[in-house]
Amino acid sequence: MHIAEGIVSAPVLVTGIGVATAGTAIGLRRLDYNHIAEAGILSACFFVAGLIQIPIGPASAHLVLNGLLGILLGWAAFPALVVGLLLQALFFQFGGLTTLGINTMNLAVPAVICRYLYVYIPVSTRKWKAVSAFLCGFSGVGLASLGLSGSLAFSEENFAEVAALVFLSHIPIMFLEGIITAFGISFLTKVEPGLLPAKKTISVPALFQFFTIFRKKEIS
Amino acid sequence: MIEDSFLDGNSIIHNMDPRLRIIIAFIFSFLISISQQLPTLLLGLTVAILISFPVYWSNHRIQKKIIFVNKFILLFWIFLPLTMDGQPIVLLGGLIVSKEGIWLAAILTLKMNVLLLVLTSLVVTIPISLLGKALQSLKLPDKLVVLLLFTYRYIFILEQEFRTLQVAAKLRGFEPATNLHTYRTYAHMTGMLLVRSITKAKQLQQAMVCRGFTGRFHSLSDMALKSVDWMWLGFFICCIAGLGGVEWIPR
Repeated sequence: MHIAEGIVSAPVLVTGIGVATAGTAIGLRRLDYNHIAEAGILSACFFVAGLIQIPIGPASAHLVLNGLLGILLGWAAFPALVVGLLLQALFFQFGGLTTLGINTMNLAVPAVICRYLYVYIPVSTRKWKAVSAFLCGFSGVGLASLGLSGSLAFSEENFAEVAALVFLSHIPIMFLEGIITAFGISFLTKVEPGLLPAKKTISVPALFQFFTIFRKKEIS
Repeated sequence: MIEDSFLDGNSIIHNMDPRLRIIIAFIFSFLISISQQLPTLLLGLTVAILISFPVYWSNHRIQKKIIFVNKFILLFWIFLPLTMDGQPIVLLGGLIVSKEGIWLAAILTLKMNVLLLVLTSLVVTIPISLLGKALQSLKLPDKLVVLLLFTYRYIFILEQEFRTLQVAAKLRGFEPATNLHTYRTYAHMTGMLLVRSITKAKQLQQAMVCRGFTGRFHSLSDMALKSVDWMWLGFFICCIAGLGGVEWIPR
């Protein structure tokens, strides 16, 4: 789930840097020093989980887990992913300095969307909770691969076929991530429910709260 | 096992100021990735080979990295010539191989290799502690730098932890396959890793507070540009101006 350096065009790179910078600024504002070790370790945790090869049919895929990261960290997913992606660029040369912005945007925007999806989907039974967690994992990777193909297609019109292929090849991974996220959330609900954000109901104040993202707030 | 792929050594690149290296790598990479002209890329390749030569000389791991990136570019070599419209060169059983497609694939290959050389020789040669310090003195938010250092520190520990979980699963007869049981097991392993890491994070937080951590890592040595760094700066300003000139001055 990385764009290598040298492929996407300047407008896409600049958009990525802009969105990633804004998101990271918001994330850092909402992340206080008491939770920074937690965010760092979660970021390391996702770095490690991303190395697991999971069999899917004849091939195997690696987990992205940006949905789960988003649910746990909220806006702090932005700085956590910037750091994780920078380390991946330095360790394995997946992505690079110039594509750090666009790669962060593609993974972190869906992560934050997943947080809001998870928090605001009003479900109470276990079954429906699992379904909503599946939806978060599925759309986390789904939106990320949409962003990935979009950035390819916007860079160069001749990349359309490659972009379509990239998107199609991620469809099985979306289902895989959905399943893993659903099981993961149900595991955390049983073992360490304090990690998960509290469910909220959509109300007018809640909608208003969405627009006050610059408010300093602890991650939960 | 995750290998810390930091390229150590003691070359003239390693002795350059890390802040300078980061800034130069960023500007240079950005210029290369937006350039469209072949002469610019060739000039960039020459500079990249020049600066990566000292690193390459003292460290052979860089070869593995180059091979890895070029495997990825194969996808473009397969797709672009076949899908791009343009002047046909060869007909492969109904498929048209276009000249423009091959040209674009070649340009991309060149770009990716230049960028890889720049990244590996200028940035991957900075040890992480120095990288954190350099980013801090480049006025990046303290929190982000602290986050980077924590993440780096814990990657190796958590990987060890995950191996332990994997061994435990294997001893209980777990074999990965395409079924729900496998996915549930992996999800639970990831969940367990999360729970354990949160416990570790809380301990770490308390230990840091006990030692008076206020959100910044202090360093005893100051970073200062030496005269050789100014020479490097001059060299790279010439290179970057040259690249910009070749790319945008109309001929």
